[in-house]
Amino acid sequence: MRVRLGKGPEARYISHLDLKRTLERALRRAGLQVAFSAGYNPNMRISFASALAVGVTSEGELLDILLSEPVTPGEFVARLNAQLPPGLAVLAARGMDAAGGMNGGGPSLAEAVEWAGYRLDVGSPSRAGWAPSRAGGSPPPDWRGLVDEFLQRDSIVVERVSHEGEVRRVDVRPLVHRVAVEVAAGPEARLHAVFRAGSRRNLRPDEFVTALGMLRGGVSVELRAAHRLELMAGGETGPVPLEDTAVRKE
Amino acid sequence: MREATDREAIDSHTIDREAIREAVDRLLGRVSKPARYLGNEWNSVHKDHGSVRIRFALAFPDVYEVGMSNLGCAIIYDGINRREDALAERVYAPWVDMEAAMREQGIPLFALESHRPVREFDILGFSLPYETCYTNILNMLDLAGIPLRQAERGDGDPLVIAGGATACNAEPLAEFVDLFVLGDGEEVIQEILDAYRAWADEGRPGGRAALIARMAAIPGVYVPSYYDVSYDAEGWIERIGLNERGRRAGAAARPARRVVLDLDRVQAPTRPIVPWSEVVFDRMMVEVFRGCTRGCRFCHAGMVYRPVRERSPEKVKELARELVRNTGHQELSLVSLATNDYGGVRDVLCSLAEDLAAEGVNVSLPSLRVDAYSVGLADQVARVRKSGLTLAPEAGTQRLRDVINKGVSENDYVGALTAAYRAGWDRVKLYFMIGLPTERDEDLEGIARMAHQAVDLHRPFRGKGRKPVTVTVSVSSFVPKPHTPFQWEPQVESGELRRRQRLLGALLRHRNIRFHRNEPEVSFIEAALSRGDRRLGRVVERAWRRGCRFDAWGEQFKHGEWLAAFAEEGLDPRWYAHRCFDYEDVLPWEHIDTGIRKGFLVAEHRAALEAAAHDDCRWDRCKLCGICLDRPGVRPRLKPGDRVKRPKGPC
Repeated sequence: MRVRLGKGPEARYISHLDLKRTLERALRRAGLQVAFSAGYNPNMRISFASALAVGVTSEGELLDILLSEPVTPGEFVARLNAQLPPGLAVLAARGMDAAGGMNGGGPSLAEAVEWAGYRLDVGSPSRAGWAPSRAGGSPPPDWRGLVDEFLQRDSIVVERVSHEGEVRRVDVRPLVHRVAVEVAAGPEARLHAVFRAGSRRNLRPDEFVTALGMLRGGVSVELRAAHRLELMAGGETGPVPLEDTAVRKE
Repeated sequence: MREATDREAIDSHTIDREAIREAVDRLLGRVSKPARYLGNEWNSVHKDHGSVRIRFALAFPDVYEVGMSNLGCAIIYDGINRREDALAERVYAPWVDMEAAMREQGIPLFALESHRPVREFDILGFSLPYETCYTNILNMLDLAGIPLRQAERGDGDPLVIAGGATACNAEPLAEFVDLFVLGDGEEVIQEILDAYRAWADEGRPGGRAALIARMAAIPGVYVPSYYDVSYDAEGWIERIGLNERGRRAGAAARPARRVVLDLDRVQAPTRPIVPWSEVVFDRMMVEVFRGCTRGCRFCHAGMVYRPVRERSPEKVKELARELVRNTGHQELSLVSLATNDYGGVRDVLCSLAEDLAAEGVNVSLPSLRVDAYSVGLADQVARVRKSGLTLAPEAGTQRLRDVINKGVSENDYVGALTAAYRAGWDRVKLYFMIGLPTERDEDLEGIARMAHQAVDLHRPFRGKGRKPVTVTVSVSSFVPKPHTPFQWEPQVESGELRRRQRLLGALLRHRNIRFHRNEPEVSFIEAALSRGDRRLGRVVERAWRRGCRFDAWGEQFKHGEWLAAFAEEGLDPRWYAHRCFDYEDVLPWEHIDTGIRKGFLVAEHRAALEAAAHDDCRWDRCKLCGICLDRPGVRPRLKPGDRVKRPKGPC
């Protein structure tokens, strides 16, 4: 079963592993029979297209689940949604031919993913603490100008710190396919962007915002909210949606 | 304390709650493990605060991951929320990064489910899992904005109560806690809430003091401010007794712990909260029995949870099935102090293991007795040898094992290991203690001998696709515990403990052996607090003000600050940890009646010094510990049947 999963604000801060665990438990509670891997440590046959960063919501996470007992997509969605905690919901599901393995013999979801579309809410910090916002602070940035300047650069390097503490330098610019300002209102703005996603190269929204903040000698920019819209494959002329519209619109 | 039905009061606090939620949400992006502060997990209970009469904040004084694995808390949470007139929400100690952010932004300690400030609740109840959590308790009170001292609290502050595993010797907390709950919690907590309800319904006559006086009449409740302690010139206790306030309230001269008579008659949680993130025990827990009468002389739990009360196999199976349905966990743990002694264990294990295997659920037995039978049982149910097998011989020679009354013979040990290796385990963990009474270097050599023996016994099973054996020896430092036969014994000095650790480490140097030991300093402070009297309350406060918290976490423990805290109060931690009591001395905890006779503890202590082992009263003669003597209905409850014969073979 190919599943499109949404992650809302109530579950924003759970990690990818948390999500996987939560899904497994929900499947068990729902009584949906999932196939297990062989060997010493059997795992449920669930494969995600891409891991979502902590703090990011989404309406387009994709995963494949290999069921050992057939069930209609409608029933699957209803039974699983009844067991999902707040913030998680199955948005759509469609049965897939399991004859050739998980993807009918084709590339796995994880292999097919190359890009992801995001909606980013950014802002210029003007509030301190949790008191109601005070007037004043730095003047609102010229968002469109800032984004244009970003796109004109060939390279902007940001430091990425891994869990173990090792620091890697990442050139953000080539990982951005597209970014545009959808709405700009004073100290806040909403951007639409397409970043690299996938196991080989991927860009997190917070890294992009750090890069933005390095322009023009240093601008004060904060990521207020990041929302992943969809995952995409790499087409000949650029990113194409990974899932066909039938699944997306359900 | 606010009137729960006063709509205006509730509404005026909606702003606080929303503001806290928003502020916390902004913080979560930059703290470690943000999922632990969400409060919306599967099975968490969210009730409308305006719809109940009593609002209870259940606090565990350590982080979420540790607190969520505590079955006692799950039982209380479930028990309170089952009432229509009450709600319970959880509070855990925020980790240091979250605490720093909260203090910086002025966010008060909040309950997870509603994000409401803890100080707004009617009752704040702390679980007491171990002594080194005391600084966390003070820190949480401070973060909540509640006065630390019970004497400073007014009618607008929550009632602060505490109960759990170490409630029977928590004198250092006497100044900070309004009342303690001793023993089994599930019945007494209902009575406490009933008393609160009655007092609230009557219009709160007499205020806070009157409420506490009402509760003092409930068996199992201990109000520390009703007792005075006097000291002699050298600092030893002269007397602990009821004072005037206590007499007027009609409190007992010796408050006694509550004992639930029959586990089948009380509710067990069947919808435990399923965490988002990984916690210490990611599994379903069914308590198969409470209490233990093996009589290991070092064990506090074995003394204060007597007698053994089993759950019937039918009930266990019923609970297990409901838990699987309501949680979706992969592992079910049959919990007790020594699960293999459970009379119905074969029946339950075999049928559960069969039923649940089909659903992909693994049954596990966390506490294994050291013998082949028990290992055979564990083998029957473990589908996958994922982790190592844990055995706890505790001491390295038969002589010392007889001193501490850990009934494990050489045959048992060899039999258990052989059975484990034959069943496919390649990793074994062995728990030992050092610093035990009468311990000599040859007992440490005995530990090494047993470890090497564990490696050698694996040899015949090598090859055939088996991994090489890994034997992990985990050694902790003995802390003499109140209400046990060793309560009069001193802890061994840290320097000497270190020497013994080094000696052992040298003997354990081997490719297949790993050696884990703890820092003696942490055990030292634990011993001082465990054997402490009320004067240590000020030491704990100073230590907390000096930045001590999460003392049970090695990397957070600040030994220097603890020593300074003691010095500032003119007290010596070595006197507390290393002093030897005489039988006639007044012990700081002896006014608490656990139901165990002092004569029994003395007899057991004497037997220990002669290395005389005693057996379990379930199948051997009664040792007159006293728990069944004075209280109606209290006796070992074994199901099925009233007598359990020594179990023979596995199913």
